Amino acid sequence: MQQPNFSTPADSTLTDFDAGAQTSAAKHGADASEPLAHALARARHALHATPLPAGLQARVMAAVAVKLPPSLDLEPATSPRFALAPHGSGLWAKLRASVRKGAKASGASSSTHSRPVRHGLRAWAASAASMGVALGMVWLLAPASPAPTALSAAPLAEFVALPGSTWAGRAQSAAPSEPVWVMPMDVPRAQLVRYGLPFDPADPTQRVRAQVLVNAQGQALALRIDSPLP
Amino acid sequence: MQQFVASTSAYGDDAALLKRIAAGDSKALAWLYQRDAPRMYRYCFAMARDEQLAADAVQDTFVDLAAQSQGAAHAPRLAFDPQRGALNAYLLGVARHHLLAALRDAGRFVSADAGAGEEGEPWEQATDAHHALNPLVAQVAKQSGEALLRAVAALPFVFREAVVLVDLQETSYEDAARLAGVPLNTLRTRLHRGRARLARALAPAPTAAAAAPVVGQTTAGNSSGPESP
Repeated sequence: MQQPNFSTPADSTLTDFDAGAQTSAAKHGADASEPLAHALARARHALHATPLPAGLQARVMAAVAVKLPPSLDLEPATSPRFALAPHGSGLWAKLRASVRKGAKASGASSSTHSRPVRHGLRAWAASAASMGVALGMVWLLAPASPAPTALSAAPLAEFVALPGSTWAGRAQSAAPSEPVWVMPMDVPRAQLVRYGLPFDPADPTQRVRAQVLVNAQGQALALRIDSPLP
Repeated sequence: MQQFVASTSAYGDDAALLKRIAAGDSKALAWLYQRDAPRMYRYCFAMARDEQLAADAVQDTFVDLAAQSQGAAHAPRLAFDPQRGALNAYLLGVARHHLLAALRDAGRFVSADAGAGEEGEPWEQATDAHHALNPLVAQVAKQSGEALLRAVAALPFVFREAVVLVDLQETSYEDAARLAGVPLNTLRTRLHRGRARLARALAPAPTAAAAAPVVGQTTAGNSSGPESP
């Protein structure tokens, strides 16, 4: 069966579709000056011209990025000391600096902004190695019996650059050079280790509310935890 | 006429593309999004007339795909089977599933059995009061195709789906029937009845024609359409 040509609905020949539609229209008392086929062609144009919402691709890609685990399997630390690094001790700054340094070492924070966060095994290997060093440092420096409520009393108020993103360096400038979106998300605690953040290994499946900063290409640039950590 | 076919690209076939996505290749994901998301979104938008619902359905579809691709890496539970159809058809089916769930949650789903096949149903009451009161706005909407899209959105779900897939998205009868999960003849019947209702919706209301004889249009219809000339 043929249908009216999408590109030239006004000039389309009277196919069986048109005939059927017009017969149907006449049968049901449709306006003779407005055959159903022509109305459908216009509606087809209108639908085809309907733009996708701005930022939808960024939304989708950021949501998918959270679902996809890193290529390298990072086992969470089993020591409870890891999850309880106290806020304000400087460990957070050291951890983030190490992650950023690792990202730079992997080449992900070069001046080219086109490198995605998830750009393959090589970058992930470098990022994961740097995170491993950072996590080890946290494990070594954390006090033996820190207060479990230390982090919950001081929820993070700033975005943490994700490994491999170029956001950290550009954030120091007065204004970002490209539009970004903030996407609210629920992130499994177990995945926080990907971002160089501490998590409670006793309950890795619990989800936390986070804001993810993404650019127009859907690259996740940074993450901010909204819900307080235990 | 559009067909759902397994496509090849720089990423190879659908299965190879999924493997790249499962490995974290954001460019492969972006490629798939740009290929399939517009069709999915416009299908959902035409069905729901709601940008948020349509966008959510598209997002949930890709998230499902990512989760399933990860499942396939560790256990053979990938729902998409290249032997059973093309990836774009599968994705549209998943989006349809999410959209249906969202419509049900919102109490906006009108099933096919809710008197959808009979004449003179409440769907005709879904006219836009603003258009009825403003002939100029109604005429602009009519010429832009917007009026018919509104009329399509007022159809019961099964008729709406047939019209959207076949008439608005130019999907083949076979693919549309497969996506709707009905036999081919059922799809044809739904399409015919959906078109008939749309034709009725395009007919000017008798009262409106009587009030404005200068238009000079016949009013053979006996129902009130969404627009008044």
